[in-house]
Amino acid sequence: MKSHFNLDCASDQLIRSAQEEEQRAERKRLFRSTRFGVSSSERVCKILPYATGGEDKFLLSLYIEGRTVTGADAEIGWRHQGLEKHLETAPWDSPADLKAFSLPFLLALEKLGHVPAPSLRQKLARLIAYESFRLRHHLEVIARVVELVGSSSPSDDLARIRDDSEIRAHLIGRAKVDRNTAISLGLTGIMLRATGLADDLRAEDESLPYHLLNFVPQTRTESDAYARFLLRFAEIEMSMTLIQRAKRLRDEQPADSTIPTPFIATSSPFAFAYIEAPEGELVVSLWAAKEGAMQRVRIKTPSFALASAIPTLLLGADIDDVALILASLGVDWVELDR
Amino acid sequence: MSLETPVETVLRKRFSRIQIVESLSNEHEEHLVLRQRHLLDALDFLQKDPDTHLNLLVDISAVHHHESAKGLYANPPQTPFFEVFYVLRSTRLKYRLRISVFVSEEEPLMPTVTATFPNANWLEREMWDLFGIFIEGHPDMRRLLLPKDFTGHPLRKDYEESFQS
Repeated sequence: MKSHFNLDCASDQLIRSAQEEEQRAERKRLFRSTRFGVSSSERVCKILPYATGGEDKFLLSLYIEGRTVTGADAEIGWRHQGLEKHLETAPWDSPADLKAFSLPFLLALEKLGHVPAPSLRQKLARLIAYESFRLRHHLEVIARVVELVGSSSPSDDLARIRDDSEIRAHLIGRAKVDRNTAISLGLTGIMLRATGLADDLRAEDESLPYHLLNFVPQTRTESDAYARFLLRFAEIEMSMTLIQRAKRLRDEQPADSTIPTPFIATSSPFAFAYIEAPEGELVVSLWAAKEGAMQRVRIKTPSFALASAIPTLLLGADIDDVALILASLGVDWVELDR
Repeated sequence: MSLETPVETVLRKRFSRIQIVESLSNEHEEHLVLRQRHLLDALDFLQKDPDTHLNLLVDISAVHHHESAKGLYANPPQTPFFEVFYVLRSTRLKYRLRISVFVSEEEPLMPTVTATFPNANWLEREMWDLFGIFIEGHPDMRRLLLPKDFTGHPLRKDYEESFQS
């Protein structure tokens, strides 16, 4: 395409440095999203991930040689909700049923309207609600893994599930992703913390009072699916501790009978909020329009990066492990298709 | 922010040929507006330089400005235009940076940044899908969220008008 812009793109250069060639090869290795032709020993298998309601939200084709996955092609399904478009026309006080996006959207909206910060008691209530949501998410992922493995451990004994040898045998050493690869793929949350990096936005969150509750990011170093599985148990324990501490602290605060300031109009043209969602960083950015509506709403979810990384995570996996690896990732299909 | 000096200062001192159009920083985030021709060099520098260490690409998307953007920027282009923004974060220095680039509506074209940030792949595809901003050099320029035979780019402000006509 002819460009009228004065673009000094790398692609316009005739001579490429060795470093650029290396980057191109790395990019090609990480994102084999389109394959043209298969070798005579490969077969293509279209599968869908094991996820309740996920069947038409994500399409996955595997290239298999023998029992090994040699490539994968992932596509988001066509259940796009158009949430960002819808929020551009929705009134301030009833934007949409935002579900998992409610809290970061609220935080960004408060910044946009310069709404005074809620009381500590109110902030603690928000924290308790969000940690409960995180707890439930991790339990759902664990339940899916247990169901797939067919573990004989009682389903209500988390400690026995965590130590289950069958689950361990199926997950250990699988879908290993080192720190640099995880960062290259835009992965945050548990994927990054399983590489030993204590990257957790709750440690620097200014809008929720984690700093009052002795929050500590949970990490492991093995970088595989089993490390991530174990991290979910550590996160559940941390969430329960945070909820207990938050409840105690909340009960010490005076009862809050102030009516929240109604959001009338924006004071800033732009605001954003980020939050440590169960699977990583979730960012909501808002641009205000003059007439009091939203000019633009951008919701960037951690499941987007997770889903795009699936082909890389499955490379070299045994075909028997694919469903389990996918289940253990914890991709939120609603987040993906907003 | 953990850095002693803002990114703008580092860029001006160490990469002076990069022209910073505007700087809009607050206590939460530094926000720079750059010229499109400097984007790739700037991102590459910011990722590799140990003093900036912006190693994680958090987001890429766009805004279609159809009404005046004077409340947002001191000297925005004449509307309508696109603003393409990149959100970067440093996992070591614990801070984030937003970079914006203005793009003409008549010829919406951007270079791919997948050489520096491989995870830009799907983000740039989404931008093409929803805004119609073509990404030059992208390895896989297909729609991402919408069906392949879908007509139009729904997050454009003129989308409803063109759809009805």
